[in-house]
Amino acid sequence: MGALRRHAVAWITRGEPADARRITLTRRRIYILPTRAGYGFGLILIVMLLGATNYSNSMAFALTFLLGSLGANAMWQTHRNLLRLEVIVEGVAPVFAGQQASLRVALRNPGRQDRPGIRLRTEKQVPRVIDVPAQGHAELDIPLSAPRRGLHPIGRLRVDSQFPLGLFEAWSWPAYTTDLLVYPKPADPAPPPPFGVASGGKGAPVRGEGDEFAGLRKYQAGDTPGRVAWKAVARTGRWMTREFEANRSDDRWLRWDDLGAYGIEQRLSILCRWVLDAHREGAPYGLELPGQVLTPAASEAHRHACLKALALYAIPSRGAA
Amino acid sequence: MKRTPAPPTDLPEIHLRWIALALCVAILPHLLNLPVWIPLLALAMIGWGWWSLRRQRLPRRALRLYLVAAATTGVLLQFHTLFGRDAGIALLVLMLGLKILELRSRRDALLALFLAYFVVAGQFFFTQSIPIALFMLLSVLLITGALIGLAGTARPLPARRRLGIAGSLLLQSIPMMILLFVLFPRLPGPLWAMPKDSTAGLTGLSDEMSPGRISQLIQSNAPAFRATFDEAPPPAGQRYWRGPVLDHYDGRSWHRAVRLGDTTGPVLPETPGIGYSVTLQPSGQRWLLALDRPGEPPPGAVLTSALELVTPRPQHEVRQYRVRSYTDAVFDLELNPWARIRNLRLPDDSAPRARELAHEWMLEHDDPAAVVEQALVYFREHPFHYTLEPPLLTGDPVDAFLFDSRRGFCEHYASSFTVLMRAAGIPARVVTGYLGGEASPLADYLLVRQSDAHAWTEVWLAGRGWVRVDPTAAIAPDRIERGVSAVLGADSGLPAFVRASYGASWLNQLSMRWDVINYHWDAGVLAFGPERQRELLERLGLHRLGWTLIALILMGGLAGLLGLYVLIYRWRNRPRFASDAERLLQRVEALLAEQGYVRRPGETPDALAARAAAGHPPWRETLTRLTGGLQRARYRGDTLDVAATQTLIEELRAKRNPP
Repeated sequence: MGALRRHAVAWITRGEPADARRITLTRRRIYILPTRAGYGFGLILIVMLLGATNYSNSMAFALTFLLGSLGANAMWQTHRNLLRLEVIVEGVAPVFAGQQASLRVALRNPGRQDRPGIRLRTEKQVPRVIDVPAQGHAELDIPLSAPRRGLHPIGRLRVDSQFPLGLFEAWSWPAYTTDLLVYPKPADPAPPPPFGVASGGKGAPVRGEGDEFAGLRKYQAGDTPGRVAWKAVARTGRWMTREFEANRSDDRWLRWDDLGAYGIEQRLSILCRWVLDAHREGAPYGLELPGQVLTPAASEAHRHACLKALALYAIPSRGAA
Repeated sequence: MKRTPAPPTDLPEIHLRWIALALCVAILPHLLNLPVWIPLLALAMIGWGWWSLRRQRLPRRALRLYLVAAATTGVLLQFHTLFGRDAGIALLVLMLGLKILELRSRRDALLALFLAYFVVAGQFFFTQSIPIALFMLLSVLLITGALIGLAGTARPLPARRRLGIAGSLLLQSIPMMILLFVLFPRLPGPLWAMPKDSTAGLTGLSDEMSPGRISQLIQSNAPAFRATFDEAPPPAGQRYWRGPVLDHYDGRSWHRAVRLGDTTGPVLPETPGIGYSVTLQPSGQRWLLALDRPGEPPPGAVLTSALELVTPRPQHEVRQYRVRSYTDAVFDLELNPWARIRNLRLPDDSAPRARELAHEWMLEHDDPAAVVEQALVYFREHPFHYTLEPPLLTGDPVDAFLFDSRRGFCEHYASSFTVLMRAAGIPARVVTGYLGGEASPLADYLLVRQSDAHAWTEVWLAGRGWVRVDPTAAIAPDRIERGVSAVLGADSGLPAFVRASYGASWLNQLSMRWDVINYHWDAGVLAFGPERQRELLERLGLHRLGWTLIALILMGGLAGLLGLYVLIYRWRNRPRFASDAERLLQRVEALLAEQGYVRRPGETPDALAARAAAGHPPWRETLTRLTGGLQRARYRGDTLDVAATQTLIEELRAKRNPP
């Protein structure tokens, strides 16, 4: 049933181009049908019309016609409430599989009349309601579910409104090519990384043999006092160790091949956890996947690159990224 | 009584306030129509419901069911039925009051408001007067305002905004309503059996004349009908409006008999007759009134052998029709034997003294016309009085009136005169109707009120057919020429409007003015039914098109109106800028928005430009120059170089991200 519905919507909206961020709701994109209340109202009008005819009651006719006209006017006003509204997808931050992403959408109203009661949602979600002021904007975040890793197009949104009388619902399905990047779900619990970060001093590699200062990392048991960045400790109150370039040969490598005992998704999950842990440590780390190597670094961009590599591992590219 | 906390309603208080107000206004006019306890109870329940909802506690289910049962029982006791007009509307009003006690969700609220529209329609089955119609607009405005609140806005709209939207919807709907009212195909009702109580509260002539019937009518100031003449109306003494003809006497009351074998129509004279149209108030009866004697029946009515205009069904609606009457028409030159027998029949034991008297006259004169004259002389020469408050008659009503009390009004005179004629061997019958009519000083019509009700006699004379004889004229000629009020003094104890002094008073002037408005309302709006619609279409030349094309015209008209509204809306909302700077700024903003830099609420154009420049460095320089110039023009009043600004905007467009 769900698939049928999806196909039907796809067929109905086939002439409506998707956009990366901004869609203006034109006449072609807006659909309108009576709501359940609207059908109820129609039924009442029919009963009233029959009553008026039976009793040949002129004023009952007049009231029936007045209410019918009221309904017809409500119809175009509901349609108007969406017409020329601009629906702008402002962006969505990557999330881990199983989390909920939050899509920021701006509604821009170029008209001189405000548009109350605009509802916005993705398929099958509870709509969020917002009133858009005249010649202004309203922003809202709508939740997106992200069950699986990978790059998921956010696809169709549903914008609708029943304002003013609730007898008709006008709606539109603006579709967006913007993707939601979903990282693998971090494994919990995860086996310790092979370089034993989590296991403390025992077997820790000797570091800091070089001369060139490379950066600071969190103090670990076994670091010699000469390595401690005393100035930083004094400043921040946390124990930090200076690191030197020559140590890079001993950088932590997070390797696909170290996890031979696990399946693909589990390996990705564990690697994801390792990347997060390593990033939190602050030390440079590298990631080695089959056919793909990310050289060690410790920046936010590097973290994102690693996680993205994991997210997209073995997923055929769709060209857009 | 202890009340368990029911799940509170999920409607905000502002909605409840609107709904309660709308329902109260919808119920209010029913105070005039229904037994007063019904609307009062409904209003009380709305007050109680609102109070409970505000405290987030609704009466529990058992109590509500008990109330439903009690309300139904009350209606049953009052009307002895649950169906029909009065009981049905009473139930509807009570249920509307009860509905607010279970107003839990939006769905309940919608149902209550739709029901309220129904209750508003219900009041028209009692009265369709102008004030009630205007009140209907108020009710619809408030119900619609309450409905607007339920349409799902993020924040409740302020009252003024709601009324503004509802008001503009209503204003847009009125022209469409008029179009529908005129062109929507009307079917002749009724579609199903009319409940018996649907004629309650209507007044008019009935097909029976028993003592006191007409005097009841005479007490009523209500208009019976209004007539507009093509030319000058006939003189006052000729304004006999023919209604039901009563030819069966049972010793006390007169009825319409079943007339078999009568077929003769009137012999129309060479004169063109008098053409006029009548706007008849709903009477709940089947008569159409026409000047004595009508020629052709209007569409939808038949002319009986006694020259009554009869419709197939009772009239519950104002009705307008055109008739042509011939005051000097002759009919029934030959009286068939059955009709003769019927119009001579008297119950064996009735009016012995009157019969004796008539018998003497019959022996005295050979010519029936002389007997008629003799009877009129009898009325003139004996001390008969015209009064609307006759003493109670004991024994045979005709004998008691003719020989004892001698005080009465038209119905006594017509009845006893007809009995005398029959006893003298002259076929005779009672004709009821109206006599007179007041010319409106402001418009071209004659107003005939219920107080103009009258009864007279028709006798059949060989060679002349049926001849009208009005015995009341013999007693009180002024009644014929100047109406009831001329005959009765100020001390007669009658309602003020019937008294002689009333006619010239300012109050009467005012009431005649109001009557003109009502006349146009009745004739133009309320009388508009299938027949009037056909007439109008004929006058417009549309009747040849057939209903399919007329329906298309109607649809086209409605679509045209909607299109007009859309155009007006677009024109009123066309982009308007205080200056070039505003207009160009709008363009820059649209360009930035296209790239995802949408101005946030409260963000200045400068801040937006800074954000866009930070996010898209190629724009930085152009944007700085652009907004600088625009801002100086807006706030410092510097002249804006429009061409240069446009070039900058083009530059901005060129440097944007490829789509």
